[in-house]
Order: sequence, then C-alpha cells, then structure tokens
Amino acid sequence: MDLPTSNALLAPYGLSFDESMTAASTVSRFYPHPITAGVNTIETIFGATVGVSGSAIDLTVAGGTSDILAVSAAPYRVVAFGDTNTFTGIAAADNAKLAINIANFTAVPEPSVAGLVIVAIAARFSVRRRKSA
Amino acid sequence: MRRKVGGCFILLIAISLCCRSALAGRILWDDSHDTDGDELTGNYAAFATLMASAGQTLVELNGSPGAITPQALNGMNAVYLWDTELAFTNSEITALHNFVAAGGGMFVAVGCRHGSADQ
Repeated sequence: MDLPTSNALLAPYGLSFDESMTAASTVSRFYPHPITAGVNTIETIFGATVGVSGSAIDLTVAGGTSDILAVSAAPYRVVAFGDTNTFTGIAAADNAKLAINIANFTAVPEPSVAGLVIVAIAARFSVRRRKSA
Repeated sequence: MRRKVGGCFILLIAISLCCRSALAGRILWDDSHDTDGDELTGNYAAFATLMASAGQTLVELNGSPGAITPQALNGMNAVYLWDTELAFTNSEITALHNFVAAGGGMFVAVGCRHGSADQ
C-alpha cells in the first residue's frame, strides 16, 4: 500500500495509517457512532492501524492492533479503516453491518430537489386549506 | 374532498421521493490506484451485492493515477479509496479535499503492506 500520499490525503481530517501491521484478530467494543451502530464484533486479517489527532474520533475502545477504525470530526464525513480484507469476508461477524453503516454515513445524498419542491407545494396547499376552512 | 385527496397524493409523492433520496447514494469505487486485482466483479463481488441491497450504487473508476478528477467525482455522494498501491497525484489530493469540503464522503481503506495481495 502507498502510505505517504494516503496519509497526506487524510492529514487535514486528523487521520493517518501506521506502518505497524495488525494480525488476524477479532475486534470488539466500539464507541457509539452511526458507523458502529449494531456492530459488536468484526473480523480482520491484516492491514494497518489507524491513528487520530485533533478532533478525529477513534471508534475502537481497545488500543494496540485494535485501532483499526476512525472517523473525522463533523462536518466532514471521512472514514479510515485498516483492513480491506474485512470486506471480502463480509459474512463473518458484523462485517456486513459495518460496511452498510459506512456506506450510509459517507454516501448521504443531497436532498432531492424535486422532493423539496413537492413538500413546499404540499405545505402551501395545506396552509391554504386551513385558511379557507 | 377532491382537494383533500390531492393534498394526500402530493404528500405521498414527496415522502416517497425523500425516502428514496435518503437511501440511494452513488459511490465512486477507485480502482485506478490498485495493482493486485481488487475488482467489484471479482473478490469484492459479494461486497458489491451487499451495497446494492443497501440501495447504494457503486461506480468503478478504472485507469491509472491521475484518474480522480473533479469530473470523475461529479454526481457522486462518496468516494471509496481502496487498497491503494499507487500514489495519489497532487491534483487528485486537491480534487478529493475539495470534494469532501463540498459535502462528499470519503472512505479510505488499506489492506496489506508492501504490495502483498489482499486475502
């Protein structure tokens, strides 16, 4: 993996990858966050540990090689994870749940313009009905 | 009565559109910095299926370093940078920082060391 430019990319968000390689393990206990909601245990094979600085959040409770998941502080939606192998083995533990949570957290679409326009029309329609009643 | 039905119909359409918007996202999957064959149709096929079932659309970006541009990121809600073995260019880093600053999500995952393949 190319760590220097990955870390240059992540630096503004207080995230970094460390050279230390993690061993295959089970990681449990996570800090409450939309990314870890419903995630009790994940399985890893090997990768890198994730470091945090500033306001970034280490989402794992245990230290050492369990430091594998972290997220930037709001308003940014940047997630760093130290083992892609976790997502080739999505049937294991809560790996799939973690993958879905990360997708839902990072890929939040902009509100639908059409939806907002129709809500506005519906609200106006409702107000007119109340006035005429 | 007709107005009441019309109002309910409009509200139903609005709720439907908003719910769909909340569920569906477009994710750019970067494969332009990968050298060991991490493909959505290969070892990440199950992952791609999982994302589709969760309402997320993965769009694979092939090519070589330099492929991540504002144009490539246009219309995406998030970018996944996956097991990058090749360095990002300065212009790619700038494009990604601008994307995040504009509200885009970014997921960076590494998986192995010194070029050894994912398991």
